[in-house]
Formats: sequence, C-alpha cells, structure tokens
Amino acid sequence: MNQWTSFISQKTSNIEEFVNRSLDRQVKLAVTGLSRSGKTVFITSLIHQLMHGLDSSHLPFFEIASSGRLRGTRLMPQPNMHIPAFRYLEGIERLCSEPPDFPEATQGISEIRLAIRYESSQPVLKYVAPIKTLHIDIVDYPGEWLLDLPLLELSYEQWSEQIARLCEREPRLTLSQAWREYLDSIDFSQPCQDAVLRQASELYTDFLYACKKPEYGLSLLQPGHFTMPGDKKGAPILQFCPLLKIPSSKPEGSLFAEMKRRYEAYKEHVVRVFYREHFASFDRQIVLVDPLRAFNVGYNAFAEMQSALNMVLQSFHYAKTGIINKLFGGLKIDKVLFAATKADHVTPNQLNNLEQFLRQMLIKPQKNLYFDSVQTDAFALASIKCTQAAYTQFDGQRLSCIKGVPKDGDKPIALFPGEIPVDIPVPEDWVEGRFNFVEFKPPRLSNAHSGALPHIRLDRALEFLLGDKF
Amino acid sequence: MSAQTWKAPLFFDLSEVESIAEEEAAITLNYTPPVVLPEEAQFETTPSSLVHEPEPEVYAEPAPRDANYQYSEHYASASAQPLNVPNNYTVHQSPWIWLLGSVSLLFVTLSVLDTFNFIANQFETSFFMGGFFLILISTLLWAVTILTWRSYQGVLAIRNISHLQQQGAQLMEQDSHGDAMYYIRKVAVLYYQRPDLKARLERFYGSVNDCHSDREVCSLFSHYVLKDVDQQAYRIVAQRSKETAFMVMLSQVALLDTALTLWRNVKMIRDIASLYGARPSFLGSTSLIIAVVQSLLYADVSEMLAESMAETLGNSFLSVMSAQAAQGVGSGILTARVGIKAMQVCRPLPFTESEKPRIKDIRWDILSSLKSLFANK
Repeated sequence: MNQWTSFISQKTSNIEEFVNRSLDRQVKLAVTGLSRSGKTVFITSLIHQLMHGLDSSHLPFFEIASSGRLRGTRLMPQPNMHIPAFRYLEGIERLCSEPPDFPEATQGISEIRLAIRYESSQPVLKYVAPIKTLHIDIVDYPGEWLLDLPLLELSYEQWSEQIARLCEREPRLTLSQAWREYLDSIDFSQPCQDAVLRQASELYTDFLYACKKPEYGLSLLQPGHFTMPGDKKGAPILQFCPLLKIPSSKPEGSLFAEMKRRYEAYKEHVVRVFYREHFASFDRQIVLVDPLRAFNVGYNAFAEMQSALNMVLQSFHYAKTGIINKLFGGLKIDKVLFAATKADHVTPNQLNNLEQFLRQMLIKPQKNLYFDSVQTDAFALASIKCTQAAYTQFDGQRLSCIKGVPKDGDKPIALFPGEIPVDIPVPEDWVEGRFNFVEFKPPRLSNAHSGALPHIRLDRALEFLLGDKF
Repeated sequence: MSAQTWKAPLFFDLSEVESIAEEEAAITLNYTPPVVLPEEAQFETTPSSLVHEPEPEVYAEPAPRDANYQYSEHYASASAQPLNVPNNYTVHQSPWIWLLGSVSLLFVTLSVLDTFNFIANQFETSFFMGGFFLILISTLLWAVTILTWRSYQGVLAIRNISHLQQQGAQLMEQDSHGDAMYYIRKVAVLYYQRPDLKARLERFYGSVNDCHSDREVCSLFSHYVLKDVDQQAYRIVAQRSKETAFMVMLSQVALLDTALTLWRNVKMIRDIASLYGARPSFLGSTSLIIAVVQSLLYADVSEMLAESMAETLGNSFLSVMSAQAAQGVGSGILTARVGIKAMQVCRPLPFTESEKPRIKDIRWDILSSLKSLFANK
C-alpha cells in the first residue's frame, strides 16, 4: 500500500513538471561542453547575473531585465534530493577571494533550480496574473562524461575498432605504447583472470590520462568515467578496456567475454542511468566550446574537439515543438546556442572572427539542426571578463590589444593576442608562434556579492535561450 | 598605403598601451593592495569623450561584407582609410540651364540696378525719402539673407540626417567593430539639447562597452534613446490622422478637404522632423516633403497591396456609414501613411524590421474614434 502511494505521488510530481514545462513555466537548460570548456564558470556567472542583474544597464540585451520587468531571482530547493546541489556560493567565494580564482573543476554531477519572478506583458494575463514565475533547472557535470553518450549506440566490437583506428595515429600511437604492448602479450580467448583485466584497464586509464595532458589536449577520451570516476572509483564496472584485435574464438568465460560483459554493464548501469536521469529531456541547450585551447595545442587537438562535439550532439533530441507536440510527443530541445567561451582572451575586434570560426567549426551539427527546424545561433561570450581592452601604437598604426593578469603571474601584461582565422585552419597553419593565447586570471571583484560580474554577451545568450519564455 | 596585418601574438610593455577609462573601472587587474595605483592610470577623463575608441580623423569606410581578406586588414590595423567618394559624375549641361541661368542673372542684375537707380533718384529729390527707402530695402535684404541662411541650414540638417541614415544602415548590415561609437556620437549631437533624452543618453553610455559590435551599439542606441522619440512621433501621427479624419468628415466642400489634409500633413511632417532633431525651415521642409512623397511613391507594391486589402476587407462598418465618414477615414489613413513615411525619412538610425511603425494600430485608432462619435449621436 505504502509502495503504491509513493509511486503515485512520484507520478503526479512528474506530471506536474511535465505540464509546467509544456506551459513555459519551467525550463530545463542543458549546459553542454567538453571538459574545461567553462561550464561551471558559465553556470556560476549565469546565476549571479540573474540574481544581481536588476540594474538594467548591466544586461542591456536581456529584454526582461532592460525593460525593468524582472522582479528578482532566487535559488530554490532542487527537485531531486539525492543529487548534490550546485555549489554556487562556493564559486562566488573563490572568485572574490584574494587572489581571485575560478570555481573548481567539477568532479561529479550537481543540480540547481532558479525561480525568476517577472511582470507579465501578455495582453490578457497582465491583468489576471501580473506577477509570474519561471523555474530554470540547470545540471552541472564533468564534461568527460558527455563522451559516454555516443557509446549507447555502439557494441563492444564497434567501439574497440573505433579506438584501434584512433590509436594508429600520433600522438596516440606513442602514448598508448605500454597498453598496446600489454594487450599484444595476452591471448583474450583464455579463461578470465581478474589480474589481467585490472592491469589492462589500469594501463588504458594511464593512456587516457596522458592524452588529457594540456600539451596534447585530446578530447575524444572514452569511457568518460575512467578519467573522472566520481563515486565509482575502483568498481569492477570500470575495469575493462577496448581490444585492438578481436580474437577469432570467443568461448564463454574467456577474457574477451568478460570484457564485453563489463562494457555492456557500464553502458547499462552508468551511461544509461546518467542519460535517463539527466539528459533525456531538455528544452534549451547551450554548447560551450573553447577553441582557443585547441588553437594553442595544434591541429590534432582541434580536429578531435570538432569530432567529439559532433558525436556528443547526436545524443540529444531536437525538434521544433509547439504546445501540442510537447504534450503528446515529449519534450525536445527547440533552441540551441553555440558559444565560444573566453571571448575576453582576444581583442574586441576579433569577436566577430571568433563567432564566424565557431560557425565553421560546428557547421555539421548546425546543418542538422537547421533541417530539424531548430533555431540556432553562435556567439562569442565571456562568462567573466578578465581583461581590459586597450590600444597601442605599433609600427605607426593603432593596434587594439588587451590587458590582464596571466594565470601563472601576478602582474598585469598587455598583448595583442593574435588574429583568429575565419576559416578552419589546415595543419600547415600551426607555424611556430602563430597561436599562443594566454590564459588569464579573473579580475579582482571587490563587490561581487552584491554587484554583477563583468561579462561579454552573456545578456544576448540569456535573451536567446530564455527570452521567449517570459 | 596598405595596412599591414599581424596574425601572431605580440607582447607590449604596459606603459606602451593606451587604456580605456571605462574598461579600467569595470575590470580590476591590480593584484597589489588597492592603495598602490598603476602608473599609467589616466584620471583626467571626461566620461563622454573617453567611453570608446577615440574617433578616427577620417571616417573609415567599412570594408565590403564578402571580402574576408580586407576584413582582417581592417581589424588589425584599426587605422582610418580615407573615404573615397566617386567624384566623376558627368553632368549633362542642357541649354535650358543656360537659358534659365541667363534669364535669372539678367533679372537679378536689372533689379539691383533698378533699386540702386531708384534710391539714388529718391536721394536726389529729398534726403528723407532716400533714407527711408534705403532703410526699407536694407531691412528687406537682411531679412531675406537670414531666411535664406536658415533655410540652407535646414536643408543641410535634412541632408545630414539622410547621410547618417546611410551610414547607420551600413553599420547595421555588417559585422564590423569599432566604428559605431563615432557614428553614434554624431547622431547624439542632435539630442544633446533635449532635457527629456538626457537621462536616456546617459543610460545608453552606461550600458555600452568596448566589446559590443557596431550592430549591437546601434541597436542599444535605438532601444535606449530613439524608442522614446519613436513613441512620441507615433503619437503625433495618430493625433494628426484623427484630426484630419474628423475635419474631412465634417467639411462639406471638396476643395476644403484637400486644403485641410494638406495643411495637417505639412504640419505633421514638420513636427516629426523637429522631434527627430532636423529643425526644418521652409526650404528644408519642402525638400523633406519631396523626400516623403518620393518614398510614398516608391513604397513597395506588396506593402500597398496589404494595406489596401486590409482597408477594403476590414471596414465592413464603413459600408453602412455615410460616404462622408468613409472620406474622413480615407484621408485619415493617408495622413497616417505620410506620417509613418516621414518618421522613416527623419529618423537618423534606420528602422529595423521589428521596430518599424505599423499603420494598423493607427487605422484602428481612427476607426474606433469615429465609431464612438457615431455611437454618441
């Protein structure tokens, strides 16, 4: 009996959420991005702007704020009790500390719900219900886990083949040497031994960690939980690895069969759970990309980032949805914003190049979305603006440049950070010293607890993602 | 001189770069205790003059949209390229011009001579008469000069606005950066004298920053400053259209109708122009009216079609009403059309598609006010 009531109450709360989202009273925002693309900083800044953006001159392009209809924003108790809350205050604390620092990289999943109060401008509702509330749910998670989503479509054999093909090229060829040699020494049609499984998965994990190092900057690292295990560290479900050669005989209880079983279990119990709980339904999506980091590393990192994003974006459901569709066909993403982060690391006159470059980089998913008649746009944005724009005379010409404190220093420097190419660069473009985008520390924010954070185009991003919900 | 481009990063000494006051206020970089200030900080700044990049000496013509290479040149250099206006128009000199020119020259010379002779004659007869006519004619000359000068200023103001419109359309069309503030400052000059817009201008300057592209700066200006002016202009148009509708409906003489419509329209155009900062004189308003009529003539066929369709389909009530009322509504709507075109001609920043004033609401206004008039009877 008790079971039944709890089941029914769970169902009704689901239905309530469903109706709310269909009627634009609740939005689930997908903040998508590979690891280190600035998801946590973006979410922190977004919450902060919404909570302190009442001063209309700060978010001029966010219509609800600039027209003075925004009443305020408040953090709400999150819907799922078993998921940790997004640590917004901690992030702000770190930004305001001395010296200031960015919020820590995300280790696990977390959730936050915001309630935005605003004055309605709809002709009839204005008199019936003048003050309305919009709930926004945002999920933060390690970007590594995103790359697990494509696994759902792949069998163990297909995945192994994909990885084997990737390992044929540098720099993976050298990095994976220890793991490959170990695999070559083992016959996988032999009966299963735990020690071999553990050793193989450890070597594979080491290889993934090596790929992740900043000097290689590779992003297509599957399975994602290997490099960011969360609470599953050491569990047998994380002890497997792809095989370079599929053995011809695959008897029951062999090493190969066990590997395959664990891969399937990983898909079922880790990836599918993650997907079902957090990724199955979204209304709006922002895809954060950090092209500057890829520029700094080289062509390989860039190409890999592009294909990883392409793969990830195929795991989401997109469609243009009207209210009837929403009620009967399920919730789907109907607006996607591609955003190049760290726009403050280039000079203001390069922002347009950065945007054009981003469009070029993500032309494939963008075309697919256009086919699904999903609205897309591409912006260059900075969640927190770390640099000042300035000008200098160089070779008799006025040159735009930026001033900021580099990540590994404590004195401001001034530089012209280089030009962003508009077209996708070819490997020959990476000549010595061509790309060297310096990373900057956040600025000193003395009054961030009450004032708003400096940003670039976050207001336009907000308007695009949420503007029509008000 | 072709502007050089730099692709690779360059590092500068802090003392070499020129800071922007607003940027320094928004982003704090000094990690040292706040008492020690960076040496290069500039404090003697006025907020309006240092908000953005100082103006280039010559207005840089933005590069064409499709030429990527020129784009990057434009960006990296940030130097001004002189504006190339094609100067080689070939003017066809028709004999008519010679004829008219010589006739008017003859007329002017004759009248000057005649006046001189006349005054000299008067002086010969009596000093008093001569003095009187001299003073009279000098007053006349003075008045004519002043009026001509003002008219010329008015024509210049209208020309200035249409020039600004072209520049604004260019800026809003392409993804350039850094030219908009110079342009906006030229537009803002028109509104410095207006106390009601002062606060709005200040809000605009407060919210714009260096990272906004030209298009963003223009739309911010439009949103913060011009939106208010647009609403005022719109109210004028609605008011004048209703007045015309009433007057035409009440008057019984056809000629009077035409005169009334013309009078209200001219007044409305002048009002709108001065609202947007053009301050037209007599000559100025003539050229303004010509511009409005031209844009009316060249209005999109589709636009006309849509409007007339709405008028014929939507006015079932008119079929019941008298012809007199129908005439009234007709000239009211004509006035509204003229008014909206006048707004488009006079607004220094061109309207975007979403901002364009619509005739629909005014028509509704006119109809409902006429209806209420009939209902009261």
